[in-house]
This record gives sequence, C-alpha cells and structure tokens, in this order.
Amino acid sequence: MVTSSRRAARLVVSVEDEMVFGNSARIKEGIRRLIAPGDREVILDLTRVPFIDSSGVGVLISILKTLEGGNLTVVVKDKMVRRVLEITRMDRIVPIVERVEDALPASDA
Amino acid sequence: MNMASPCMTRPHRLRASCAPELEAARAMLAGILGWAAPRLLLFSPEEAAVLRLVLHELVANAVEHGSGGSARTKIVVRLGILPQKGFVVLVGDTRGQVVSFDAGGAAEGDVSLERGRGITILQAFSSRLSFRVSTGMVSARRDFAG
Repeated sequence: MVTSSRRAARLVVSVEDEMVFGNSARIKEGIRRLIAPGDREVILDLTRVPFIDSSGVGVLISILKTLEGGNLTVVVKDKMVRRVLEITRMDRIVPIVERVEDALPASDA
Repeated sequence: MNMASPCMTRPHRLRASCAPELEAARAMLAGILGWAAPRLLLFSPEEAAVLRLVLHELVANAVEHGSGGSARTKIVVRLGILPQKGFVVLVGDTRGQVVSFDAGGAAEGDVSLERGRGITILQAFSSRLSFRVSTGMVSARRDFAG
C-alpha cells in the first residue's frame, strides 16, 4: 500500500509493503502517481517496509529519476533494509534517516 | 516439497521448480519460504532474512535472464539448509543454459549502481557465490560463523 501526506511543503510518501520483484513495478507506479509535476522535495517513508531486494532498490532509483534534480530523502528503520541500501550504495546518493522528522527542516520537525 | 517435521541436526534439502514467469516464481518462493520457516527457527532473524534475500535475488535473476526458452523450460531451485551451520541455494533452468547475471557487480565509479545490484547484494551476503556455466546454475552459499 502506498499513501502520501504533506509536511512542511514536502511530499511524504509512505510504503507499507515489501519492495521486491513481483510488486516493485506496482509500487513504483503508485509512488509516481503521487508525485505532482512541481514536487521537488520528497520524503520516502520506508519504516513499514519489512523487506527489500534489488528490485525494490530499483524503485528508489526510478523515483529519483522522476524527480529530475529534486531531492529525495529515504526513511528506514529496519536494519536489513538499511543494509541492503548501503550495499547497493543508495546511501551515497540519497540521505537515509531513521525518522520522518529527521528529514524535515529543524523548524518544522 | 517435504512438509514433515524437520530434524534439527541433519541437512534439509528441497527441490522446487516453476515456469520462468513472475507470478509462478512468486508462488514458488512463497512455497519454499513456507517449507523453510520451521527449519529457520534456529537461525537468527538476520540469517533468515539473508536466506530470503539470496533466494529472491537468484530467482528474480532466473526469471529476468533465464526465460525465453520453450514452454517446457523451468526454473529450478535447490535449497540445502544445515541448521545453525548455513545454507546453499542453487538456481538454474532446465535448459542447462548459462544463467547470466548483470555482470560482476558494480563498475568502478558507478555510484548509483544502476546495474549489478543483485549480484552485489549476493556477493555481500554469500560466503561463496559461484556460476556453473556448464550446467547453467548459480549457487550461493552462506556459512555461519562459529
């Protein structure tokens, strides 16, 4: 399930499902539909994603491309999910934090 | 698949196969993980997650790169679990052809890892990863420390 909300002028997209081959295309499309043309700051909340594989990582890369120079921050709680993102070097291209509040400006957290 | 109560001291082996299609592969994986669940009780949660990740990556790769043969082609998975010791996963297809992989992990300078994510993950989590070209099988093995 993919849902969204707005916080401090940022789009927060929350995924509540595994991100694996077999559903990654559907999740990718669901996230893309939530991103409006003017959205430049997106927070991808994966705190309720219990498992991710390389297909799921591909979703993040695809979203980053969709933003076309905008900023994507990823929120991760699960250690294994975080480890997969680190192994695939996602932590070198997007900030990864543990809480949505950590992705917001200090005045809005 | 053998669904009897597992012995916790002997190796457990499973062979499963499916058509090289996404939905069939998902169903097969669900069956394999259901079989493995009681056998993973002596694994740490992290090791159980590693096994699942290895299975996902190898099967996804077989679906993506191993399909395209005749209607009789199947993806074959062989799984061996030795409680508290480790596991071996072999995945190939019945054509016996090479199961290619996005080559060799990330290229130097490929910060975004657009290609080679699957094998990079396998290399990080497997004690041994090998490609048997002659039989078209990819095997990943993980030995637990201690």
